[in-house]
Amino acid sequence: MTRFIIRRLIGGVAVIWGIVTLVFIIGDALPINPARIIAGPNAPASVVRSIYNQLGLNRPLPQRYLSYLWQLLHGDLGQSYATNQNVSQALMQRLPFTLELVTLSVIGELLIGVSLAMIAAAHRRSFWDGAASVTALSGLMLPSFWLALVLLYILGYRWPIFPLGGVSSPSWVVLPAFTLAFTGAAYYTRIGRASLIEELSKDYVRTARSKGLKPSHVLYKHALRNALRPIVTMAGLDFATLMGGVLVIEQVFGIPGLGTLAWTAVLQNDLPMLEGVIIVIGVVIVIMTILTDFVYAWLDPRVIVRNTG
Amino acid sequence: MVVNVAAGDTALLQVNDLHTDITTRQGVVHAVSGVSLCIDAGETVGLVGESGCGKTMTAMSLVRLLPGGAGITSGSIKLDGRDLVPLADSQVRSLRGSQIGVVFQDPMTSLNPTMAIGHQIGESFRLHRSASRRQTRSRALEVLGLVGMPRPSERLGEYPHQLSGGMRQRAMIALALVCEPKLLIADEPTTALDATIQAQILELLDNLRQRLGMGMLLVTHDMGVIAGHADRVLVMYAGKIVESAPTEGIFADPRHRYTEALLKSVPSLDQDRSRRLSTIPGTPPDLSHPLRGCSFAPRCSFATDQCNESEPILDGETEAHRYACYHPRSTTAASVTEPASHEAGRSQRPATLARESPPILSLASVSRRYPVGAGVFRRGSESIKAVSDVSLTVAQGETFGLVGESGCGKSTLGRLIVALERPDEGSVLINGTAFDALSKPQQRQRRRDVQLVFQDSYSAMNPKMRIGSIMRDPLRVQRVGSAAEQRARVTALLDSVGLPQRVTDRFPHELSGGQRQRVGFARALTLSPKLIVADEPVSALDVSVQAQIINLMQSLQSEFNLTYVIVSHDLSVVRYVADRIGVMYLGRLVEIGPSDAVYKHPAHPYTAGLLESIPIPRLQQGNAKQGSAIRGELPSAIHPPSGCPFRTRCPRAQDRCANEAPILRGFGSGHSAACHFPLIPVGASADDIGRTI
Repeated sequence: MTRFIIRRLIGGVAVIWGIVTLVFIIGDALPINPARIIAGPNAPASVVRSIYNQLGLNRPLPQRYLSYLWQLLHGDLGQSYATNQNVSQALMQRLPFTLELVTLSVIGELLIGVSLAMIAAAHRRSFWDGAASVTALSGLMLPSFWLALVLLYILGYRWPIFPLGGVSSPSWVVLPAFTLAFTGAAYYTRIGRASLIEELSKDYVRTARSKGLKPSHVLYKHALRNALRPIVTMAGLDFATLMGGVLVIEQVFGIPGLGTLAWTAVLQNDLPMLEGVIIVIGVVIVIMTILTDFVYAWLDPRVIVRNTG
Repeated sequence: MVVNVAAGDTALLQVNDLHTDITTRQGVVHAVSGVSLCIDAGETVGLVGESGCGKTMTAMSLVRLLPGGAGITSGSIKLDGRDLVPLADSQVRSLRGSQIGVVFQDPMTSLNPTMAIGHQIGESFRLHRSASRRQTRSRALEVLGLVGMPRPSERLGEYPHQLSGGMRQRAMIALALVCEPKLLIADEPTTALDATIQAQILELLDNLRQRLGMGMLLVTHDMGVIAGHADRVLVMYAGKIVESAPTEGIFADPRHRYTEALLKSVPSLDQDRSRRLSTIPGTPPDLSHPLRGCSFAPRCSFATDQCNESEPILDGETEAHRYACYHPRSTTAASVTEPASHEAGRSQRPATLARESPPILSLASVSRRYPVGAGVFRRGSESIKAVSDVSLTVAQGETFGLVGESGCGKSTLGRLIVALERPDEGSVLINGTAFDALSKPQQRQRRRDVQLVFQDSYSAMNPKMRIGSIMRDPLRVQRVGSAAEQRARVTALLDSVGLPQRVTDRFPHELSGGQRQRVGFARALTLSPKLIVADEPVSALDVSVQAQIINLMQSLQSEFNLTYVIVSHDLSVVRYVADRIGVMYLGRLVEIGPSDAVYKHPAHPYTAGLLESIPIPRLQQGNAKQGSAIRGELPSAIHPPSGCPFRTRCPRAQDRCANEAPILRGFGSGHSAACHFPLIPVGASADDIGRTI
């Protein structure tokens, strides 16, 4: 078991190093002159050159790469070209909001999606099967921003239970997370239903029934655990996607998250900020992937045996 | 059809006129039509029949574990006098596990792969006895010891994939018996297991039945299993019981024509090899459209008009032995299972083999290993030694049988012969040349010369393609002939395997198992091969269909001048079909020789043990129950035992066996075995032994 964990962690570190290096290479290859951006379009060339040297951009590539890594290890992501604030600080301010939103959204997707899947699979081909599937699909059809605005209106304005955007009170996360969860649950319902139906037709479920176990017990304790594997995969990928892609929701709800930060960085050619966002999101995704693997191992003990030879 | 049993009220289980129907889109299938049986405490009743006869549906009806759309439509099932049919589902559920236990066929799929063994075993105990966690654990430990599981306390926390096949089945049995049920239903409990393990498990079931005073319903298609382990036998056909008798009666004196035909079509170990196997023509009836008369009549050579008009009633001269037949086999007729079957024609086997010409297939010190413990950090040289140092030759026109249990390497060897894999050491020569020594066009020709027929034709065929396309594929790949020529060839091939041309428009799932296997052979013949490797060609088929395919294989062999290498675990089939036999154990060839010599006078203890483990479909003097000669489990293929690989289970093993690996030594006329202490003296020929015994 420990060998399994160690291998995963080493792999994770290797991937992070790869991300970091790739970001550096791409950043270096971009045809923008950071010194020019800082100095502004009207500054004379001599000023630009002196800023260039100040930033250490005249050093050879290997040296720059190593000092880049060195700085990263100390948590220093540089200064923003646009606002001149510390990139790490800016990111750390925003990261918790995005993390909280994405985590709760994925949990919400799982809760809604898997519950509907279980109803559908247990009552296959009956009314409840269709009802569950339709409910899930309806969520898929709704544009997220539309649902967001509707919820904001009804529950933020008409009956002000939740804050009208912003992150002032702890319940800020409910509406946006629910929006994302409801619109994304359908994928889980489809896969969950198919996976559960497949598991329920397997021999070991017949054995479980032959022991006289109650149908609910068979569903929850036997079939579900084995059916969760594809769902776990999806959840991991989903988390990754959401980390970088909740820009629209952030805008609608006014959440100071990483999405907005990345967006403005692109517009302003703010390379260190952009690189910082990419690296942070990359690290979070790697951690999530490793956690997903651990969940797999917990669900299916065969994974450990296979992977430690 | 009601049964009057004199001591009916004391029977543990009494089933009366049970009818179970399955509602499908194509109509209602009458899976069980009027089955009556009774089982007393402490006795084993065998339910025998081929696939589709309704035996599993009958067994599952007892515990109401029916698939969707299936239901009991009439009849009664009385357990200790209490009728189960009118009970609600929840009431039947409380009986499952506590009063009636079920052991299923395949322990690998029948156990939850992600739940520990101990937990799975304890579940029903926890439920039915409302036991605490500690009580459950100690009970699970107790019952694991009862089923003979080695080191039970370690097993509790393990998962199914960590156990061997035999241990998994023991775990299944433990699971079924944990609440000490009164009745045990065993549905093909040993079909998925190796021969030596099979014998152990059957013995275990017998012992447990006696100890716990249970009644047991043993459902199987294997007459040999019945012969050794059932007190009474019920033969089923098309959803009905056609004969019911004590075990001796069924084998010594079968009355129903189906029972007779079934017993005849099983190749026994001393079957006369010059005679074709007798088969049952036709296929089982469609149960959604039941016939008016006897269901077996269309396939019976003794049927008359009376048989087609009205259904015969299960009756007999004595209460104990009953049959439903208007023209039963006469009691005084020649015994069915003795090896003198004159009805079957002469088998079409090439009389003499061209021994003078060089062998068509020659393996020299072939080894194949699969690395294990892979990953980014490849450490060590651990590998599964699938095939180790195997050498043999096969002559043109010969049939060579390769036998052994699972994991012995016979399938790998089959793949090496067909050049699906390359040997790590040694050489595989077809007509003197190895595959890699050939040029590309020659290699393509080689692929035509050596073909493979698979065990499970269903998974060997693309389910989305029609039969015609599947069969034209080899011709397309090798670019032989135009489309019209290809189609003509397909029709001709189907004809030679006895299939009508209209089969070309069907999909694989629309054919029966026997038909699919025929297509498999036809496909292999498409490119006029010289050598066909058949990997378990009849294992997945019913007994009567097996006989048809075996006869077909032999007529194809003489018609097309083929050489066969047949890989199988079924020794009776191989003994009948093969001229020479090789026995493999843990990747090594332990014995090789002419078929008769190896079977009559096995030299290697493993071969002898294997032969003893086979359940024989007839009674022997004073030894109805087959004992298991070989104890223990198969050792690891990654770390095989030093010296002789069989020494850990061999009753004759001594120190020398651990230090020195035995080599093949001759016993005359091509019979050799790799053993330091063989069962027959070295150098003695089969004739010598025959004379002295």
